[in-house]
Amino acid sequence: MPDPLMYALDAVAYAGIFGMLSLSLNLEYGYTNLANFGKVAFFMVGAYVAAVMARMKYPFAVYALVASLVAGFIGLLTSLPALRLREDFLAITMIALGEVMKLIVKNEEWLAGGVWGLSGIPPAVVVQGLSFRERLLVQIALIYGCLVACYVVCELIAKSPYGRVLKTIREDELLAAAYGKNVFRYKACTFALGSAVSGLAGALFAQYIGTVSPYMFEPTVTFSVWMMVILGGPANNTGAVLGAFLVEGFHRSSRLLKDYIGLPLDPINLQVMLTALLVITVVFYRPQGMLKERITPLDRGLLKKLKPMYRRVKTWVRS
Amino acid sequence: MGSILNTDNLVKRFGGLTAVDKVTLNVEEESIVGLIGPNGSGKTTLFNVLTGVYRPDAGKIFFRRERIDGLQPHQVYIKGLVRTFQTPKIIQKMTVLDNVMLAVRNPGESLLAALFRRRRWMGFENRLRERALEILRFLGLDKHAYTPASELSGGQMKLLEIARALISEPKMMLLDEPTAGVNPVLAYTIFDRVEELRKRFGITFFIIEHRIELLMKYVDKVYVMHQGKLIAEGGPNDVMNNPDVVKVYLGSV
Repeated sequence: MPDPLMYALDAVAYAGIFGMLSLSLNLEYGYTNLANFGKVAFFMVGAYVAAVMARMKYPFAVYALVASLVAGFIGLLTSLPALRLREDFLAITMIALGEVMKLIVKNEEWLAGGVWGLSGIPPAVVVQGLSFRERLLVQIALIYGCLVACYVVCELIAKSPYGRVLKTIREDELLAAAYGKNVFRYKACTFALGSAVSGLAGALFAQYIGTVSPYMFEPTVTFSVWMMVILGGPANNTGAVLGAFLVEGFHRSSRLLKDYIGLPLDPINLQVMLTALLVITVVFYRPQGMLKERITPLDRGLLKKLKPMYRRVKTWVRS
Repeated sequence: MGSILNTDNLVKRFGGLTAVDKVTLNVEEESIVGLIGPNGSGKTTLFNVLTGVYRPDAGKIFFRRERIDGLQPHQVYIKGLVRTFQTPKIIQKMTVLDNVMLAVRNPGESLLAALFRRRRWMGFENRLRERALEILRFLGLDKHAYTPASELSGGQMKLLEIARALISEPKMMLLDEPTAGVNPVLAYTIFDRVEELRKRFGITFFIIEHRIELLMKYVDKVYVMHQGKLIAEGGPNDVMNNPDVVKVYLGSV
């Protein structure tokens, strides 16, 4: 008899990891209008780098950093030629990149175990004498720590002049160029940063699952992340995280549903159909997503709200 | 006073069409120069070539005695040559104020500064905001500073374009039909502001305009373009009495 709480906690952990992917895609698509349909490639790079290094007994902090740096660097390299393409061609190129990367790890057995992948990846935090459920809670704490860090980074970017340039590029590249912004450099920089965040998510994923194989990194991962951003609300970081929870919750609950409803239909197909229905409904009735983009001037953003809170905490600590 | 912008036999072709055909022009410093011509005569293309959007097929462009042909648009902007667009390019999902402020190069526009050195650019940002509000006040848009730019009327969007071009303290501004779709009173206001800016800050203007009678009241010199070629140049009166210009505008009889 499977433990329903474990199933829920596992879903929460997954939602955290995908929340980071969703945040990174939001940075690329929501703020800069870069249609990165190769998200899974950078996720995979992060996961594999982490897997290889974790098996060599490096600590988590080191391999997480290396994984995101490698993913970010590969992101930068791909962006140099790919960003010269127009939006839709960029999307196609990135889908192809995702597949190519997967085929490389599948076929280069010396590199990463080929089709069998790598297993026996130790978890990042090992505490002796914990039950399985407690270990899961430790994992969730780690994942959500990283998620919060990524969220803060994305919010800081969104509420800075850098974020304003990104929005300008999203709305009108010619305008951005005519007003002194080096559009290509901004795009490449954002692409690299988004890829680095995906790499970090990949590292968390690898140590959470304990094994990586090429079959985990199908293009459907990319599409799930896109669903999260579109449902949650592009150009809204809270929305991106909310989208991750919605989509993950939807996937899990529709998987449970099949046990209770007898249908003359393959349950996997049912899930796909329901997913499509959900996306169409949201795009039709709420094209801006669950949480829409906020139009606030920079000086009325996050910091204004946080500063008095910070001061209150400081005086409270001192007294 | 010397010339600020001049071109030498500038050519831009699109396939078989020569949109800009051997254009040689000269704009004096601190002057207001008009550019008129029928629709499709290549005026906007000329602006696009001057600002680096299109690379010229032949010819040279000098801005303050420096060659600028072949530069990217953002490099031309840094030299102090700023343009506005025929259809206002307004970022609808930003406030009016942010729409103006995005024009200035800001230390907070680098990724590292956005993340780690926030103190440093916040001071700059605050001073920039004051300046932006001042410019909006000058153009009568300060009441709308904090509203989303999508709520502005067509004429106000034109003013916003000018505000954005102004805040970067340009040496020269290229205005592409600043009064298109603007009511007559506001159109005069826009040109009065142009005149005032020239006097106060010594900004040079090069203006595409279809309202000829309005333009002629303000300009020092007019160029007339037809089928990619400059067919006439001179003071307002000379140009309006030029038989070629009359023919182009009224058709040959």
